[in-house]
Amino acid sequence: MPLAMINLGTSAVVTGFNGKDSIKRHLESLGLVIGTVITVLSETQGNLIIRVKDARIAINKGIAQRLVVEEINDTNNLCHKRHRRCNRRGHR
Amino acid sequence: MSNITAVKDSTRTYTIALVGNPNSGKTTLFNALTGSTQYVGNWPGVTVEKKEGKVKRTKEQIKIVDLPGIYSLSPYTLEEVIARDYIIEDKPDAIINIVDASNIERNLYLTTQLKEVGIPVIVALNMMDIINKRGDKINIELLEDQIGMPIVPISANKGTGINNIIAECIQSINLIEEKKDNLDIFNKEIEKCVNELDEKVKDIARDNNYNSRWLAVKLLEEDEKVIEKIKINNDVKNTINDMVQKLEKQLDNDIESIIADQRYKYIASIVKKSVKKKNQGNMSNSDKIDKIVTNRILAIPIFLVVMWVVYYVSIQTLGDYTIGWVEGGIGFLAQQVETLLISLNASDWLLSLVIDGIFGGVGAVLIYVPQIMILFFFISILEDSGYMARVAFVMDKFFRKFGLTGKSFIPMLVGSGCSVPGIMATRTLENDKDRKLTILLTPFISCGAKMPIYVMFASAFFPNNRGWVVFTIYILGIVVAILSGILLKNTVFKGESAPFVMELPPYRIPTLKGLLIHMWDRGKAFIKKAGTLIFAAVVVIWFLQSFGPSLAFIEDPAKSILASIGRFIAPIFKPLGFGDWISSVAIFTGLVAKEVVVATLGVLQGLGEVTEESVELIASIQVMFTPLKAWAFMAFNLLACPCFAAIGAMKREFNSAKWTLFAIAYQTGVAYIVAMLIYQIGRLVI
Repeated sequence: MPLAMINLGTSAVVTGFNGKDSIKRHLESLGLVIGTVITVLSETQGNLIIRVKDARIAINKGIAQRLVVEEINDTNNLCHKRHRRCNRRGHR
Repeated sequence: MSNITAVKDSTRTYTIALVGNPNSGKTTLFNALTGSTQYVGNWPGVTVEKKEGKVKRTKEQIKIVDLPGIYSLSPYTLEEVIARDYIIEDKPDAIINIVDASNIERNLYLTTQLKEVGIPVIVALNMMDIINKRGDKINIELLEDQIGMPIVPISANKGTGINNIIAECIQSINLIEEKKDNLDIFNKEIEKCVNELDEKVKDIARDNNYNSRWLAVKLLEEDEKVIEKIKINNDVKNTINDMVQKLEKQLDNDIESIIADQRYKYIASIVKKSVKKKNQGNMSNSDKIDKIVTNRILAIPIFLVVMWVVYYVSIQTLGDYTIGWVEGGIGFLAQQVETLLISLNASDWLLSLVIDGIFGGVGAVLIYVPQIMILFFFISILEDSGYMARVAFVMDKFFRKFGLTGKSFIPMLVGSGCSVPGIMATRTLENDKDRKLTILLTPFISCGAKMPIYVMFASAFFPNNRGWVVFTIYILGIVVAILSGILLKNTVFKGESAPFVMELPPYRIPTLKGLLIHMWDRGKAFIKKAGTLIFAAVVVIWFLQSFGPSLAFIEDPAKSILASIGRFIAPIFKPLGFGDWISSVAIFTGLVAKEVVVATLGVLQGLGEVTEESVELIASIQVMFTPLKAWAFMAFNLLACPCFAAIGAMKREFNSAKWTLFAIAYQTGVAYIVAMLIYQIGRLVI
């Protein structure tokens, strides 16, 4: 599903990008390759701030709609490993 | 700095380039190494052109080149092209690759590419202070061994570790054997293709002075810029096509993505071994601040309040006191000099030159120096804290409505200090049309040099609401920029804007030292300009207004050469309400530098004859203008064609005389229409 549909605070794995090659290259240099785990940190009018590795990347809605991701459902497992805070989120 | 392997011939000059991701601390290191004070900020894209300096305290002659930040050797924006071309074409003797240790995985992506270029690379692992503070551990020796490059842990901010870097560089340059030729990044199939291509392009690589392995990888990636530059025969072309087709089919992705993916996989594997993180994935302070500052409801109100406070404090309150102090100081000095000159029996014209001309003209400009420095102190806080990049993100949606992207915000904010660096900052924009439009609109955002004009008029006509009046002028500039954006995007610059993708820097508490340096830099530049350009302009203006057409010294400026010139051009400005010769002349002299507008009025009013000088100037302005005329005059100066320096910057960045002329004509045309509307409509209303 497109990244635009992912909820705030959830993590997902990048599975593809449907857009111009030049933009795809740029996203790759920023660390967004297939298999990268990202977390949505903030959302304003469809524009997102996502965590990619140790960086925060701001992207607009257009990119968020073209970036294809798979939500990580196994929250428990992940919470142990890298997202201690998602326990709190899970209850919301 | 003594080094056993250092070359014996100490006359040799080494060139070392600083390469790394945007905002990884290259310029901070550059300043630490060379002792210079180049502009540093906390947002990606502060440095947009290469800068050179010499290393202090070394026996060898070492030239350091600071390059704009790049994420990879496949450039996306103009300033990235500058950096890559320098690395590939100019071939420095060594590269210091600055790696931000707090974001090591992403930063090493570029490192794996630099390794292939065939120039010795030394990794400066920066931000070690942050790593230590976080409690993370990096096994430097293990990492060094795995990437096959010397690593020097440093903190460019704190100045630790930097002494070792240069020694390491010289050692690497003089090392005959490379530690490790290439890294085991690629899987077997790709490695086989790279090796095969490497053999085939050895001659081409030698002719073009490229490393053959680097060229092979680039050709396999089908890098357009490289293919454009070199000639490859059909045999090589076909080999590449076959390889690409086979690999893409096998790995079900396009070839560039496959290569990028393998680089990241390789990096992940080595980082896993050598980096131990204490708290993984915890919410950092930056994330917490972002939750509030980029909040969908609060973001814009927060931004408006921040900007209002900045302008209110620097213009109305704190800034206003400083004007009083400097005025008093200059007035006192003028009086002393006048007394001295009279006691020396100086001639009338000399007295007039020094007091009316120099003290009146240059003094009228200098009184605003503290105010501008305070304004810059605040803008530096916005830049250094990391907030500015967030504003770009928050404003993206809004900017898109009138044909720009959030990235255009940064040139415009920089332009609120001075249009010249503002126009240059457009190099971070990816799309050519967005860039051209931003260059054209940036001068509408009022620069610091125009501020004295507004403050002077606001003091004359709206003494109790100075801050507000100046604020409305800034708003007018923004509104005109927005309307022009909408108009031009639908006509001249039709086309889709680039999507917004930008790395947000972590929030940092700005250092007082950094803020004071920024503030002083700006103040110094202003004072320097006052002492040179403005001084010269003032002398010329004084001459033209003190002598009649027959070159006789005259008492009444209305009979001067300047008055004749002014009367000749004045009718043009009649519909705008200020069709007198003095304001007409001031507008034209403003082309030299916008501060000269104030200086011109200062000279022409014979300011400096009385001790309470600016009261005199303000009084005469009150006679000359009405509040309405003052508004029209301020609006015209805000919007009309910028000063010569900014025109030059536009010319360089457009790289076209045609576009530059279009921009000037558009800006001046808009200024004329807006000022006329203000005056004519205002006259009907009042």
